[in-house]
Amino acid sequence: MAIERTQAFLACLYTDGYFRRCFFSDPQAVGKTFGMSEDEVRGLADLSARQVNFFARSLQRKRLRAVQKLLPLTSVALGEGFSRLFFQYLDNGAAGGINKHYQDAICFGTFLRQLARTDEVDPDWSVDLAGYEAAEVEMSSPSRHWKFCRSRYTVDALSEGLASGTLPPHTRALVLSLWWRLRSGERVRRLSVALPRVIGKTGVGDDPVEGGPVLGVGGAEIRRELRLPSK
Amino acid sequence: MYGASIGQLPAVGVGLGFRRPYLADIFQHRESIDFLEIIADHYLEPSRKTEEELGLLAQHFTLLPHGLNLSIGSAEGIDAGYLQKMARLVRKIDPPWWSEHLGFTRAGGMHIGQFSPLPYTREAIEVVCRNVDRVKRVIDAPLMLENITYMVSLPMAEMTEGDFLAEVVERTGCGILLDVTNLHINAINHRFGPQDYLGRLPLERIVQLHFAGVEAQDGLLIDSHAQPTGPEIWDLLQTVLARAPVRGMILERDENLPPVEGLLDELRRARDMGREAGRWQ
Amino acid sequence: MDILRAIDNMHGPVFLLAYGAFVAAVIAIVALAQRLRDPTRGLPPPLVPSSPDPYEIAFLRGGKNEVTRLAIFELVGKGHLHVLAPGKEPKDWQVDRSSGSLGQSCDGTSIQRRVFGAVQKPTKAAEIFSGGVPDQLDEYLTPYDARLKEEQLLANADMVARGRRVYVGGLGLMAAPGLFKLATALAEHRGNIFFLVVMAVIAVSVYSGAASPPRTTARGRAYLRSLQLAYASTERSKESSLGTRESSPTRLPEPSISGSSSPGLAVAAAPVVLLPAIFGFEVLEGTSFDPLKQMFSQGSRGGSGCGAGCGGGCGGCGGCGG
Repeated sequence: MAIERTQAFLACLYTDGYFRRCFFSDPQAVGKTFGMSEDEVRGLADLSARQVNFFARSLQRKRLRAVQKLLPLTSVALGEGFSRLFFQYLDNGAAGGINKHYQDAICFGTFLRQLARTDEVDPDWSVDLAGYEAAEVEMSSPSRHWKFCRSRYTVDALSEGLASGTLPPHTRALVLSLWWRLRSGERVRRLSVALPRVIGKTGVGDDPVEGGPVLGVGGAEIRRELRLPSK
Repeated sequence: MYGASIGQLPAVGVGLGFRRPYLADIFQHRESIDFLEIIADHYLEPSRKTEEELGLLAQHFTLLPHGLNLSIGSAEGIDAGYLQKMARLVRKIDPPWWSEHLGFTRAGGMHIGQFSPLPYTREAIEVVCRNVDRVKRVIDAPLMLENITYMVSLPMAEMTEGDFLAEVVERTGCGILLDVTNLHINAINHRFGPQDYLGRLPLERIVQLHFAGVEAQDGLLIDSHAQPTGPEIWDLLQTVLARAPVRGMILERDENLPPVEGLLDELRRARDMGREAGRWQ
Repeated sequence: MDILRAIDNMHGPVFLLAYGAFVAAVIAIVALAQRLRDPTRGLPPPLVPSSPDPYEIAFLRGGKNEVTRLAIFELVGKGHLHVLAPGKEPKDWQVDRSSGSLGQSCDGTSIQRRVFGAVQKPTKAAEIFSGGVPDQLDEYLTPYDARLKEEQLLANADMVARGRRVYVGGLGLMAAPGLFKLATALAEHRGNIFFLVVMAVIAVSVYSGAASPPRTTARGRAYLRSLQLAYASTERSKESSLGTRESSPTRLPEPSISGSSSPGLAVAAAPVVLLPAIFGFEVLEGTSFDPLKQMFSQGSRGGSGCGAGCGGGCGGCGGCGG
């Protein structure tokens, strides 16, 4: 059925940035790969790129706003980088269904973790914060009974500090967090345990610095980031 | 039968699109809010607390469920699971009617995340009629179809949007939820006259209205639901109220939430308009 | 007689185990019976009023003790009383007058005036209750009591009497085997009754808590639940109206329904006094009134208890959206 194909095509056009760029640079080629007839492609070629791009951007902004509300501290931590990274996540395919915004928040946390393996996410601890907040989003589903999360930083301290508008000293530590509820719909409880300091591959230790973070190597960069006076 | 029941629908007055930050406010100002429109999707897979909230709202207000993801224009058909959940919700709260959007949100296995316009073609009308037919077999309550805003004018149109909506509701027996703000936005963005649009519609099928503020973004108007209702929307509301036997009006506000008194002022103004037009007491 | 002989012949540990199971069963059955006999079960609760009376709600939830707590909260919030914290232990903290009189600014509520009048010097929370301050409010609470009973939100005299009969009957049933065993042990000059006595004490206190006829009816508890649901958004954003722990107690506005002080944030425009009235003093945790919460969580034992399910926080889940 032509309309079914047209709608699938439009859905791709609205949600896939790469597909959209390819189509507007060569409608015929892209239309054919989609199985469209010549007439159909001719019709769709008249689509206004400006209108389609505007709509696509509004879709992205809508999802971005929703996820910012669900991951507020991560949004503060990443600043302008949040939207850039989120649009990058959307380009890789987005969640759907009734609870798509919740799914977006959860999947975005996973996306950041995967990205951090190959690319730098600045600040590094925002990846763990995102995972932590995403875990809380997951547990907001009343049927979810437990969730385990491992963080490389003291996310509790980061959360409290960001929530009150400051960035407190945070340490690199293995923090294990467990959320649970015994019955569906019950209030969630959480237990976080920071295990003794881990000396990582970089060989950094935990030297508490007044008002600042605790890395030795790379500490200068982090001090700059926090605009702390140099020692 | 479905069409005949449109004329028997009760007048419900002026209400608010329910948003949780206003939960306590709506109880404190119950006498100023005639009914509530709830986002159906929030109650389709409810937690125990959400069920309690729904029960509390239903005890105090007439509730009209407003769906977001039925995707009634999807050529691939209605999601059966979503439809069953919607049916359960409608049975639970027994509204005088419920509503969805004349568009599609899902196609080719993808969720678009926003209402997308249908091509105004005969084929699309058949798709909508088939889907509405399926819905009516499961949900008894009358269905109102809302006009959406659209950024993209699909080039394969065989008719205008007004003609498309008119034919859909005539053939399906559905009523119209006319979003006056959306009409204004589309008229400005796509350069047509709202009066021409209204002239195409079977006005006796306009059961409910939505109104909200508009915002400009990148040279176009958008339905952000983040601003007070502007004068051009009030004018359009007055025109529609004078001509169509509207039963209810809903003020929508999603972002940039003001103190509730601002919203109540808008509700009062809308109620007075409806009263002057003889739509309710 | 066979049963009595069997009880008499049971060895101590076996008897204690069997008796423990019997006590638990009696407590559960009587507690359930108290609930099931409630004639208001299944009745829909009253509608949430547009202007709820916080003192009536506090009285429904926790009787005169709760009303006293609420009055102190409001007096602290309006600057007429303040908290003195001479040490680390909240049980040693005191409330004291900030001014010599209430003047005209107290909105004229008699309850507040009476409570203010009772605080003549720095007073600990325990002293407020042991000193009979709540009892001084009886004359003001009688209309609340009458109305709430008429609405079937509080148990009326008939329900209370029936509930007491069930309570006493269950207590007798529960105590009988233990008393018989105790009597035979004493008659035979056996001294190993320590665990039996301890079990009896525990059983009676658990029984009193669980099986006492509830003060609020099922309809009353449902009504309190409705109020908690209706004001859940206010509870979630309590810091905006009650301040944070780090700040001084927020000055409460005069009781009128007003909009949010923060234009961009649609915090529910509820008189803030409704928060502790509906959710109890637990809601003050983390706010600028946290010291009051700590003081009174230890200092207000006894008084009219309220049945299970009323009072307490509304809860949420781990601070995420929804």
